Amino acid sequence: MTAALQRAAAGILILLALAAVGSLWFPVSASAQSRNAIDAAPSMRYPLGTDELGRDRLARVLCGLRLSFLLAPAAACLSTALAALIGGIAGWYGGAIERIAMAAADLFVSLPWLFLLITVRAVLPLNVSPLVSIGVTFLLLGMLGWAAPARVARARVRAIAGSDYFLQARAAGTGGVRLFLRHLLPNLGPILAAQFWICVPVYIISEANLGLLGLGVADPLVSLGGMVRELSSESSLMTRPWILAPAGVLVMATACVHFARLKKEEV
Amino acid sequence: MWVRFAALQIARVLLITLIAGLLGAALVRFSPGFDVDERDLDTRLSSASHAADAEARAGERNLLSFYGQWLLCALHGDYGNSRAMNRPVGELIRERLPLTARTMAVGGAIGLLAGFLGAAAAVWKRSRLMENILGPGNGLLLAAPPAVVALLFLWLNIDPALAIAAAVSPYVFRYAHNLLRESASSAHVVTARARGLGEGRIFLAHVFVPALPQLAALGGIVASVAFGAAIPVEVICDRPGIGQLAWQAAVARDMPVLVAITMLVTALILVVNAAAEIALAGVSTEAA
Repeated sequence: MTAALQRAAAGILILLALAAVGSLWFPVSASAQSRNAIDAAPSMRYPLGTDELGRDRLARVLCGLRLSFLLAPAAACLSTALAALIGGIAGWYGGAIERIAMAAADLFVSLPWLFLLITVRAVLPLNVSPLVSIGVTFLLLGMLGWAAPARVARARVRAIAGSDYFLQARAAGTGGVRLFLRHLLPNLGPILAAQFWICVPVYIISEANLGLLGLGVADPLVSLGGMVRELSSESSLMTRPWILAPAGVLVMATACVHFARLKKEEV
Repeated sequence: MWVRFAALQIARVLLITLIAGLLGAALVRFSPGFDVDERDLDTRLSSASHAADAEARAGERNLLSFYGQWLLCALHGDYGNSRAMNRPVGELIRERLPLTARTMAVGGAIGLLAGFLGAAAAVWKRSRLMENILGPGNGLLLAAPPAVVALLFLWLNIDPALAIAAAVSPYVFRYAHNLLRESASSAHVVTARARGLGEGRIFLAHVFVPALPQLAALGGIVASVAFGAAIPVEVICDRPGIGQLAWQAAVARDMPVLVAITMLVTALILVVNAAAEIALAGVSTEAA
């Protein structure tokens, strides 16, 4: 079951990624307005209908997906790099440096993630250009998400530094840089890769939460979070169920990333 | 030994809470518009009045002295004034805390129970079918943003506390499932099964009880996830709690409110975590 689930999730992810990339050649732009089709129901021309400004919802979902698939991994890369740096230094040097780094990590981990995000977001300007708002949103995600992976990285560095082969390499007179590049970094890779894949769905969800709260990517740029915000003006689920499509795609994409990275024993 | 550990934990909680406050104060100090007062725009005031105002604010420019003053006032119950709502922050928090505490307690308890029961059922029954249903179901819940769940629940007229439960339960399930499965695969459990003990007794006496102290660590996870979920839930369901206050403060850049909530939430979660660790240390000392 786990293997089948993983394969299905990976397959859906590939399809979503292809659709997101393929939408670059989509005949309808995500920002093009059709004044004759405001709030239109699904049709052959608009498979997911249009929004209150007459924009094609399918084109916008694919555009939002492209943004999430591009920037969530970029933010996860930043978090993982910061985690490797901070966790690595803490584990390598130990002592006071380790205690300070881990106290900072404790603080970041103990604060609820969304609260931390909105607090730091509040300090930054809210009335910025859409492109800057994308940068600010995902840069914040990347810069604030280092704590949990850093704890894992630090534990791994400590374990490697105490291992027999590492001690032997040191006893043989291997220098610090060579120790780091040849013996530490390659063994840290799998742990960091796992942390990267854990961060990606978390960042996609966080962007959605921020978008729904009005603190995410600004209009007219499209993000899945910003599209989900459209739901908050609806009073009923039954009148226009197709507007749930962006939320459905968001949950499906996030769940697929989650399932695709699962190990056999983890489901 | 245990008392020393408890004292260290309490000192750690205090230190990290103070650091959280300092970081919060740094955000206030360096936020745009910190040094601007609407009195500056009042043309009826003379230049001498403006100069006196600027001098009065000059003391706040040094971060440490600003934080020191803020902390001193906070110790006397004065957390400053909300810039957006023009009311004392302490009063706003006291007014909204009960609702959030109730929602978090109900949602957290239901999420904890649901997650734990799911994990216990998956481990106890050792049924592949159950694992195959609960695992992906849990993954789907993890993938659903609390804001979207809150919206769905609002449309379906379901208590918003259950949206918090939906956010909490997958984390509890994952943690409890890993812990119970590890406990269930230990040598003494295999021996007990080989000796013919019933599955119910094995689970209760040999799997659940040994894992109980570590399960206490779930308290911190539940508190953190529940508060994180309370923000979108209260905003979307229009509930006047601390979560909604935090969002309003973030949108209005009301930093005194955000600093006070940061310290409150940090202290709450650290206290829950420390209580779990102290209890765990107490059990270990007793067992030794």
